[in-house]
Amino acid sequence: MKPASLRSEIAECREWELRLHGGSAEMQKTAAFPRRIEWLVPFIMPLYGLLAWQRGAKFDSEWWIAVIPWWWTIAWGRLFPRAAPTDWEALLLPSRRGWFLARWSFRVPALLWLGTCTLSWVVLLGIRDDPGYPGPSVPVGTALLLAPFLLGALESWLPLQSAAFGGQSALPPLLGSILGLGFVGGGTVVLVLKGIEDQVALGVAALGGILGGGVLLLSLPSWITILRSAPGDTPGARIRSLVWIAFAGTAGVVPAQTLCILLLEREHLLDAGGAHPIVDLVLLPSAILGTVLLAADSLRLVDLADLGVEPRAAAQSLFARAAGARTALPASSDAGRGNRAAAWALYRGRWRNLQHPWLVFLPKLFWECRAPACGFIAMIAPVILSLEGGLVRILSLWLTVVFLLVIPSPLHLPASRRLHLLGADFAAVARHNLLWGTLLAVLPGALGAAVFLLLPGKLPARAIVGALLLCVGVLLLRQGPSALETLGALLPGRWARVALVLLATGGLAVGWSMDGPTALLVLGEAVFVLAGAAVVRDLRDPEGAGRRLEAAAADD
Amino acid sequence: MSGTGPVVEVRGLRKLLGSTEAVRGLTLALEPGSVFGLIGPNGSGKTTTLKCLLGLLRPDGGECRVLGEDSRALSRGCRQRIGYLSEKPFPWQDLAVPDLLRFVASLFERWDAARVEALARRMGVALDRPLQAMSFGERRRAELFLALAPDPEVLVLDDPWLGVDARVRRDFLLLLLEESRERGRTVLFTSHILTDVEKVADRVAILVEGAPRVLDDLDALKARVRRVVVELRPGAAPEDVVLPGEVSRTVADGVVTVVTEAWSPALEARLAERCGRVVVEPLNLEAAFIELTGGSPAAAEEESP
Repeated sequence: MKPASLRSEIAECREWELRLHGGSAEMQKTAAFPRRIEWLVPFIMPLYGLLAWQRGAKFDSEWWIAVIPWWWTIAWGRLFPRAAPTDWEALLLPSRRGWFLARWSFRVPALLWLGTCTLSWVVLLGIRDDPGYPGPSVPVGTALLLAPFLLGALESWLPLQSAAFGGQSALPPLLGSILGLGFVGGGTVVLVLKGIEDQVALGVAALGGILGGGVLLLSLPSWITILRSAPGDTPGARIRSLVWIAFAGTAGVVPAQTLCILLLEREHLLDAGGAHPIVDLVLLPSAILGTVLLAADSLRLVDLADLGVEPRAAAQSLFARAAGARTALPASSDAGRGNRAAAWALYRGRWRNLQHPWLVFLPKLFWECRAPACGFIAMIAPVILSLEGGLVRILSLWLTVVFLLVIPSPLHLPASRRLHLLGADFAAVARHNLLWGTLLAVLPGALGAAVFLLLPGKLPARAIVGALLLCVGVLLLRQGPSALETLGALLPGRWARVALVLLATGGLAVGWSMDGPTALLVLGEAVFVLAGAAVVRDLRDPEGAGRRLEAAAADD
Repeated sequence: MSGTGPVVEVRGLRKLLGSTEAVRGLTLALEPGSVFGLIGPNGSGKTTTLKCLLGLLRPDGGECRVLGEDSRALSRGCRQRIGYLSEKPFPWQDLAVPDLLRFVASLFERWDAARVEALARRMGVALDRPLQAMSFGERRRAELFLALAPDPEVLVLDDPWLGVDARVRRDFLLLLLEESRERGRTVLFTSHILTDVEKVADRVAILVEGAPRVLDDLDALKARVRRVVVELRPGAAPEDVVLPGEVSRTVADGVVTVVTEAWSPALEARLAERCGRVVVEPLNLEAAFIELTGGSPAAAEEESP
């Protein structure tokens, strides 16, 4: 494309954005212009950083100074604006590429402002005359707690942005990679200034690493499309395209991951003396598994797997045959047995029906293992907690948070997702899922709780209160903007929503400050107990469970 | 566009959605002033085809051209000559139609306000309420009006009669016929209401799992897809009833019923001589569609208005 032509397209699309900005309330909502909140709120970070640097001030919960602006700008600003024009816009505008770039021409200043404020905060805290943080590693905790929110936002943003290019552009993954690299860069700056032991550098680098890895995983579907349809008329041109795409997409991620791993490894050696077997044999593999699980969950790879079993006639007959039925699904008189068999056939048949079995198989394997892993973590977390060393503690908490976020629901095991489309009997499917729910979720959770309760003095009352507050915060933050939308409809008015966000952030902040590590573990166990209660309820009322499953399936 | 060649041209179109091949080797051409109906079961690639044609999706193979331009790079002038009714709601539903019209008019280089006003009156579009306050049918009517307002040369309509009542549908059909017959506009539309398709379309394509099952003039299609009932005379066997293009066959009580898609009047005499009494029944588009797409009861139910 000629530069002049691209400039003309962008100019036309910028004009379009200006029209939207000057239009009705709904039009303004769809425009790319940054909102005032995006300029004002991030400024908290450098302000606090200046104060901390000048006066040497320091608070245990100062990392909220970074969490709140990020959270607010994600939830209320337009940090991740809509990814694709409406069909109607797309027909009127010169190109999707022009539209995308025009919108980013408005977005980049706000994003740069947020990034600049964050880096200023990091650098100012980093050069502060600081004897070291007491207790848990605050910046690392900040980084790790920020990561799920960022990944959640990226999860919806990256594939959609790629869709804006027909799923064939490396630009969105590249932008995400640059974002990750920016954080690693910030960490590196402080690292140079303060040395390898510095927690701020470590935290920022960890965030960059997780973000970079997340970007890479989230981009996988786009990458596959890109790699399968590399532009170019000749083999040479196609290879050059592939090389460029690979370079562009991984330029940010690879250094980020490498630096993160180096820093983490170094810190482990510093903290644990490099000799503790739990650190070497359990913690690192668990950390990697946890991050992969979170990313797999965010990627919705399980849903991707289900694409291979859309309820077409061929798939239906395949599963029906595998389930021992002559036609379609088994009759309702034998629904329970038939659906169980169909469910197994679904699992077995999935691999045969997919064009990319390895892409789906590994995440699927992790997915199936996540519930036992939850129990495993619940069991080892108290042991890890008893160890000294900030990073070790933080990593154990991180694992707990990861598994809290992907906590399984017995009614949502993957088989139900498509079985209902095949016309299965919901009550029977619910019974089938309950069996597995009990085995996969409740049993290990109960084992974990038993180990937990055997450790005397680990459950102070303030930790339980903290867990309740954390529960409010986690649930609200997990739902993110969609929770805001829902509650905004229930509680009209800007201030009601402000109160809501304050409740979420306040719940987390206060809960953590009361006794964060223990509170998180209590919360984790509470979720297991709730899952167990749900299973008991559904076992007593399988028909009701079927109705709930049906409702859940309708919401899918 | 000189007006001599096809207004819309699709050659060997292929489109992948994920790992699914949504459109497989579709080729069609629309002459100026023609009305083309694209029909098929849900998920057969109709909307995907329209989107590729309009440049909203990038084809993975083949080529689409509208008004002489490649759909991958339609010029602004060309895009302004296309009217599109999406299956998705019109954006910015908080605006009333007059406000939307003012906004839309500012985007077009030529705009005939008097014609638009007359069109609004004729279509009975509600002008006093925002789109979001309208009933589904009213909103659909307003959206169709917005697609027609710029006086496009090519109309691409994705399921235009979705959710509108019979009277409004009839008005739409008359309007479409006028646009094509009297004003030379070319219309390409998808629909599940096959009785309506039958009323207005010159040509139809039936897509099944992304591939064209049938692509023909509507009259020619109806002439060649027939149900042939043969009452076997003594000594004749069902196997003696041999017809080209057989789609389906049932045998009961000495009567063989065959649906064929390659009927010609010359076959009747030969069949009568060999097998017995022959009754040839015409099929309407809906019946032909059901036969040609596999005759599943679900499909039949789905296609009923």
